[in-house]
Amino acid sequence: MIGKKLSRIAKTNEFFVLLVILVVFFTVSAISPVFLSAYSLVSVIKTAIEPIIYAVGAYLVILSGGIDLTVAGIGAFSMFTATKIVFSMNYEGSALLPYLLAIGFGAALGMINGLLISRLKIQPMIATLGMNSIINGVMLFFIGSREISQVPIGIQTAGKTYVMTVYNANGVAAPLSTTIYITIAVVFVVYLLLRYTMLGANIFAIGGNVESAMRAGIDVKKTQFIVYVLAGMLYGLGGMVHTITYVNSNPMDLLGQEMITIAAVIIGGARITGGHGTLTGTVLGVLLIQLIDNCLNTVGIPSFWQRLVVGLVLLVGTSLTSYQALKEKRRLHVEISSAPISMQ
Amino acid sequence: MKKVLVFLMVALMMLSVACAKPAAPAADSNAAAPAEPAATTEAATETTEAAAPVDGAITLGSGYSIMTTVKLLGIGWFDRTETMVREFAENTGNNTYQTGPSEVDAAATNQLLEDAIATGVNAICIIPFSPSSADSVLAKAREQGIVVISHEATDQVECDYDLEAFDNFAYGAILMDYLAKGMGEQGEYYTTVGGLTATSQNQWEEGGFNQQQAKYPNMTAVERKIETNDAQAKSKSIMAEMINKYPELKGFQGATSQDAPGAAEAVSEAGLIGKITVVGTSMPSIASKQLEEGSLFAMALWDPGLTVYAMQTLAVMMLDGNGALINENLDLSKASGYEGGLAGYEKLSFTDGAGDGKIIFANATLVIDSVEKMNEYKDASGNFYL
Repeated sequence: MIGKKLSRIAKTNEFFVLLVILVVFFTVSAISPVFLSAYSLVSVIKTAIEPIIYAVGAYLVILSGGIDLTVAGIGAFSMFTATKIVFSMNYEGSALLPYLLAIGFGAALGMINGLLISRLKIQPMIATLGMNSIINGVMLFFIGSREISQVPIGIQTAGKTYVMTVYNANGVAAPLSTTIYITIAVVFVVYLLLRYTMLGANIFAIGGNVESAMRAGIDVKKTQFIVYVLAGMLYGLGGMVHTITYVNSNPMDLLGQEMITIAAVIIGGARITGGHGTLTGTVLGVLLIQLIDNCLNTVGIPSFWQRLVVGLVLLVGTSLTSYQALKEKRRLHVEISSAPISMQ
Repeated sequence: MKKVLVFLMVALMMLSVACAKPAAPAADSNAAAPAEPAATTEAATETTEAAAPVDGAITLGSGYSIMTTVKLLGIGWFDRTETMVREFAENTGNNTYQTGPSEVDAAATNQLLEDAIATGVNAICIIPFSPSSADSVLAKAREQGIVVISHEATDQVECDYDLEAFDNFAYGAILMDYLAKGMGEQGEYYTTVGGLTATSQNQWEEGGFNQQQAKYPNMTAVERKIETNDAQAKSKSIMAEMINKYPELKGFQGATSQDAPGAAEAVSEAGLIGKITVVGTSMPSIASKQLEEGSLFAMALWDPGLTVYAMQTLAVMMLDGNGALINENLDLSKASGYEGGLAGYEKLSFTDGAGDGKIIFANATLVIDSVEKMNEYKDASGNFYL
């Protein structure tokens, strides 16, 4: 029984990603023994806090059969506008207000995405591509994009409160920010949502097959709309985590974030066509990308080759996913089974 | 609570500094340029007189239409140039304006240039994203007698002059002098650039490295030219890696405006302020926190506003038929007639450019290594204008 379960786990995409993570971690440690430490582990986790939030948003969208290229646009707009507002009102309270503002902006922009896609039936890729441009344009001309480095005190304090601090062999500190709680909460809430709510089931259903979902009486439009709003909220939240982590609000920082986010989700085993993929996979996908990003210099790979290595990992990672999908498809054909859409 | 108090005190200090100073940011920049290392000192000491009609100012013609096009609109760096484009118009009675693409895009720049040619501008001042992509359109402009002055583009073929705030290698060497000072002239350091294809950033790095090799034999570069992609986050995580990999690490020199503050943040988090010296190109509006905290030892930059003012002056001189005056004897700081002068543009050196134009090097490096110096770059409302 346990053996069967184990062998099933071993076939999952998540298992592969985890395996790759471990292989990379120990290979790097073998080449450069200083890497094998709590310090490195915390360093990697630290950089994953923010991208995991984006990735969870993008995962919801991809799961529902859509795609969202506004990750960077919404994230940057929300964090920057929120920071600018609290900055200009000389706000000295906690980081709660900036967080709420950023989530609010994210929700509002996500709503526009949702309306364009669910009501006007615009292809998600086109709709969000256009929206991303519009958001950037609006930000540039109406709000400005001059980075704010003198962020309000509440944001500064939030960025410098730590859950724990680990030290390397030489006593160098690697503190882990309390923003990790936000990431954990996001993952937990979305897990509950997908696992135990009707909405969660509906997201899987419309991503798997819109036609069948509609016949089953699922309100596709409403589900799509909610997905984009949720995703927008998460991008806004992620953006504010960025500002808090780096105690600096620079919209340019998020440039290109959408691609690396989508790549992480796909590496984590979600299918770009929707209806398939797990939250665990998404988190692991982000961790893998961050791990690689944080070890190339330790290994001593020159900058010139780093892009190549990152590109190769992305390609291999995504091929694994599609290979798995292909294998499963063949298996299904052989068994002529009509198994229900898998959840989690 | 302590943090709140400290913050309030800092805010109060800033406010008092801002209030105590008359609102003349451009005049302030004179005082800020001198720096201990030899190379910059001569730049600023000469221009102490700040009388309104500057001695040696040449009469600049008016009524010309001059376009300044920059790499990217909406970022602080080019907000500063726009201010000085407007100021040039007010001071000289020329019709000047600034344009640029809203995304880094060479094709969009070319479109703006085409439009300008069609509307019949007299001169184009260009800070191109990609000099070579702009050459074909600029050639067309020059055929029609439009004066072209470029900046940050020593490889611009189609220009009358390319004005550089400084020689890139000399600038890198100045930064290295500060790094050496912070490190006590010994120990391990590493360097970063935004990208390996960014020409001037790579020259700054090489200028710094060469200076270290020649003057500071007890310093060692353990890694060179790690790419940060212009991101503070990346620079921060690189520093975290480097601290772990090199326990003896003592210094860092960064190239983009984001490199040094990012690295300084990592040094601060690791509890290594005072043990690792961080220097690099940056701006007060970006890196003020790190300088105040002490995690950033010094930042170097130039004032693009002064450069753009100088470019427009050169353009008008050429349009006036005074092109022959543009030589080693020209004190552009005074010639511009700008109140307080253009610090660092007193002595120019000339070399052959990529095309038939010449490259002009000024000596306008600014180094900020103290909070007092930094506060001289605040505008009337107390914000940093650089």
